[in-house]
Amino acid sequence: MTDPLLDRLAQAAPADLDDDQLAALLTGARRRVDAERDGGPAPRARRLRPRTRVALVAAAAAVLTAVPVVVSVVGQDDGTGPSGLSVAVAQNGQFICSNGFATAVDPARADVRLLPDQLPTGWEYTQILVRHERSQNCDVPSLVALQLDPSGVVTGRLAVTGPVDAYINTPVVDRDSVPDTVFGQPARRFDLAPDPARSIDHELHRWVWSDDTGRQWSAEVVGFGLDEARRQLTGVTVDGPAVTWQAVDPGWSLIHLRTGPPYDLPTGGTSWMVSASGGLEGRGYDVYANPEPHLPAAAGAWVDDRLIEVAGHPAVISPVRGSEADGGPPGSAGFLTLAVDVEPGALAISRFSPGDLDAVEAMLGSLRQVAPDDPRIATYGEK
Amino acid sequence: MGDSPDERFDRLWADHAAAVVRYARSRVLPDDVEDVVADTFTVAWRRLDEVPEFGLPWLLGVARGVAANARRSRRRQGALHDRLVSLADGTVEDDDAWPSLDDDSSTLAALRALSEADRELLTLLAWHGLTQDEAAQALGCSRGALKVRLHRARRRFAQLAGAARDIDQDRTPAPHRGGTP
Repeated sequence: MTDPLLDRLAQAAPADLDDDQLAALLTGARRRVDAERDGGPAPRARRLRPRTRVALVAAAAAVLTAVPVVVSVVGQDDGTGPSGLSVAVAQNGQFICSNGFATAVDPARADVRLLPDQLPTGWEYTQILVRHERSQNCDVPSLVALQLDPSGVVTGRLAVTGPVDAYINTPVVDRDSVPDTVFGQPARRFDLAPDPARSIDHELHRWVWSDDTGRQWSAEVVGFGLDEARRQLTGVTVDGPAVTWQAVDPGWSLIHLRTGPPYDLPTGGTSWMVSASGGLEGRGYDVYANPEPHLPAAAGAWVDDRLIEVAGHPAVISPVRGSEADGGPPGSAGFLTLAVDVEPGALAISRFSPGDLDAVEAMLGSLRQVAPDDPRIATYGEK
Repeated sequence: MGDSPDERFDRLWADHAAAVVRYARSRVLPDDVEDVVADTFTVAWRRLDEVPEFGLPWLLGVARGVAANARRSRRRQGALHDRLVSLADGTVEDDDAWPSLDDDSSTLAALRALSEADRELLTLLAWHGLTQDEAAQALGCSRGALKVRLHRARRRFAQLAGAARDIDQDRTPAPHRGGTP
């Protein structure tokens, strides 16, 4: 029997790749799978190339999102997920959005319209795109503390997120974690060792637990072995929904601490995305404008990032990643990522070649709210 | 005697790799397709014992999760040029991952306007050739849940596409229509 609706849809299916394209793609994929099967060094994955492997500033745990979160996702995004929860615990223990909704926003009508005095030399506007995303910020932490060296480089990170109502795919979580105890509660602990093949740059230990009210928490310590991570965590107190922190060692700075009731997550937010061309694919910057809570860029800093100022604004700059020495293609100089607190709740991020650093600092440092009829919005805005 | 693991995996690859490519192309950026295919079959190799005899629904279920993670990762990385867009009920969707719309393609326009969940269900059936039972397996839901979801997806699609007559062709059982029981 035919089904007119499905037939109609089938006729609109995208064309398949041609044979050569398909063969090339399958060859590359199979080579990587076979390397995994053989237990040998994996051929360089796409995610390790600089174009896709980004220094991760704004989202601290983003390095770990490169870890395949496979089974934990299955069964959560199908619209029949448990209780309609919008937050789930991923295979690496990270809180993730399991549902989402975004709408396009006319750039001229966006609340955020941040454009620079000028783009770096050689950059040219190509597009201004705005989205309001209800699914953003599922993992806003209640506590972030960073250990910094005298030059402002992050040498350790401690973060606590919760409480949230998160779905836990128990079989998967149990498979990929070990039982432990944290803050007097039974917990599951995820241990991730540095693994270039998986874009895991630093040792991380993350605990996930449910409190007495059945809500979920996560605590992570980055840059330390397990014993030291546990010791750093002793500076944290979780009392009901409240979190307090006292540094165990000198050299730590409190970056963010929730003092009120638990956050209502996800918070949503608006993304103002400015694309530029000029020779290097992917030039441009994003501005993420979020409602309360307003966390500084430093709350997303990862180990090896450095806290700086750009035109008087707090900022975070990554080390160079994706260079040839870092697994990038031969001759690649790699990329930097710079995140600047433009104003409370508005974070601008750009990824760029190291040679563009001064120009990008000037660009992000000069972002200002422009009028809705700014000619750049009229020309490049995507409605 | 059954096949050795290597033989079984090779057969799985030969039978379904192209289909996984097709699915991945409908779900992620072109640059991520190879990642999704490689990660999906890596999972299949590690969990070969769990792969059913007809492995495509299982593979697409894994690919679905891998693709969702790839999209999340991209968005979290703040790569503006990726132009990630999240759509209703889904995770993150990419405009560029969808075929370009012809001016008169009301079908694709309607498909694009659907929620992520509705669109995925319909395309699993129409584009990737799964039966309803297989789609339920790929989506990790029960057959009953799938039928209800399909009924609703068809109705929403028909409304968006201006294809009300297609509702009449709906052969899935109608769910409870609301009101006081």
